[in-house]
Amino acid sequence: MDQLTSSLAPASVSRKSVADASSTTALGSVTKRLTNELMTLMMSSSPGISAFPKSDGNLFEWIGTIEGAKETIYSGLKFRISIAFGPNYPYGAPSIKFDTPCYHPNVDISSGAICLDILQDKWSAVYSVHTILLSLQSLLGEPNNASPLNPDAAAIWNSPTDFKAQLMKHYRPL
Amino acid sequence: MSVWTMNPKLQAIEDPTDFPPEAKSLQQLDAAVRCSICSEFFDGPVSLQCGHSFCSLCIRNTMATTSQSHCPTCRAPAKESHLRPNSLLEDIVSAWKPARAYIVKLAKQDDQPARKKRRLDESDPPSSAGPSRTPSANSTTVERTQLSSLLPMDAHRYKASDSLVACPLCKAEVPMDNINYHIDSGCATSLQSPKSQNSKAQWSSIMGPKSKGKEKESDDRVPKLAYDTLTQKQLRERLERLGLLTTGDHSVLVARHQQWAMLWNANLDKSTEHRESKEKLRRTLRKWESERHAPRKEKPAVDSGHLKKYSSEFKRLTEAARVNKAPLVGTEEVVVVDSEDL
Repeated sequence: MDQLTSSLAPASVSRKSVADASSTTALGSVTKRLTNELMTLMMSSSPGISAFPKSDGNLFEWIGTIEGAKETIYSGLKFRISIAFGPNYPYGAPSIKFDTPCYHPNVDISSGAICLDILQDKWSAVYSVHTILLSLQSLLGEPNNASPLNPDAAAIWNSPTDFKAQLMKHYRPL
Repeated sequence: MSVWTMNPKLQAIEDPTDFPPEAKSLQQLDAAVRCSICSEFFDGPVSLQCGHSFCSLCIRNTMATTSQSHCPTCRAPAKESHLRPNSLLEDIVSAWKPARAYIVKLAKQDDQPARKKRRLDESDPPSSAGPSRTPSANSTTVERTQLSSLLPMDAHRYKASDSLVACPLCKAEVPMDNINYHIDSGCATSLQSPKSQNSKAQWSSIMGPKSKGKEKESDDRVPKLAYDTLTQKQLRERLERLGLLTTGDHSVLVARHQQWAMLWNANLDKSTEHRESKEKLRRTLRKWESERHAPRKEKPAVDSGHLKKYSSEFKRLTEAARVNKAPLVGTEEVVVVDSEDL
């Protein structure tokens, strides 16, 4: 019976392109997993990282904060990042960018785009917001200068005084 | 931020932190029987060659979506053909679910200071009798609720098998009312191809009927197809044979078949008593299709429900605000903005 009634609405079905064939999971399960992650983040007090959904009704867009680890050049600086989850999360990586200008070899200073393998081809469904934030935190102190998104930053990484000067020139406190 | 910490939906989430920090081993146990992809208890757990386990549907989804050929946890090479149902893990999960409910309940009672006090002087015989009796009473209530929550599912399954019966000759599912006509007409109404019917019928006449009498559905996995080589007509035939919708263009048909194969094969990784009925799987597939084609409509839906639920509350607050702001000019605007923010 149900089969028959739902076959009456093929129009919306056929209009869609192949593009979103990648979303193989129901939105309900994404919401569930995101709620779980939020819970985990709140219960585990990892120093220097936090993240919350932007608004009450929408779990698919989060705002995160990362504090530079101690004894790195970013120590004491706080960066805001935005996280957007697609409907196929966690099978696909969320899109993440720095909202606070971040002078870093692997971050694009104007767009905030991040070059990090686990956010691209090395993404795995077992990663979470928590692991992403931790990875970003350690990326701050240990950049991958071999594939820079900001070549200038990569070039002066080894001269901390120059680097710090550039860093502070671009930085905007939260 | 505060909105989320207070959110009752969040409070209701079951996760390892339900156990107190001093019961670290219980937290670890609770975390160990959860799938690292969906962070829920394993549902039809399967193991890879590297030893890592996931819900069958989660790992199948991962492999299909990302075309990754390695374990999500350790990146060891992995293929769909490597998946092996982990029945021990499945048994542990089904035992742990009621057990954790029981333990969490006890732990909460323990939090009450009165009980704690009583626990301390357990050397005293009359007082120790009290608390030891209470838990046993609790265990029966927990068990009872667990049982009753299982019942509807079973009832559903038997009902489903009433309406459809497996033909003794060709094993096709046929409505009970049509079974005589079906057999008389030489299984003509069957949707299966004649070739597989014959060989199957021959084998079953040699081997005798399957031991699982109540299982109406065959255990055959749905194979992956070389979708590019199939015409749209052939695809439709395949879907029809599986009892699925045949509407939509080529990409929709392919996606539907892929999703069905995933749901179906993952269901077969569960032990028979945990399996869903074919009807339930069909409903899951339909839900998946409708959600897939109505992307991100969730937010307004949640908000409107929220607004409706608290409309009287909002009205009351608006009224109160109006009264308060009465002396000011342009109050209306302020009020409107406020209610939208909520």
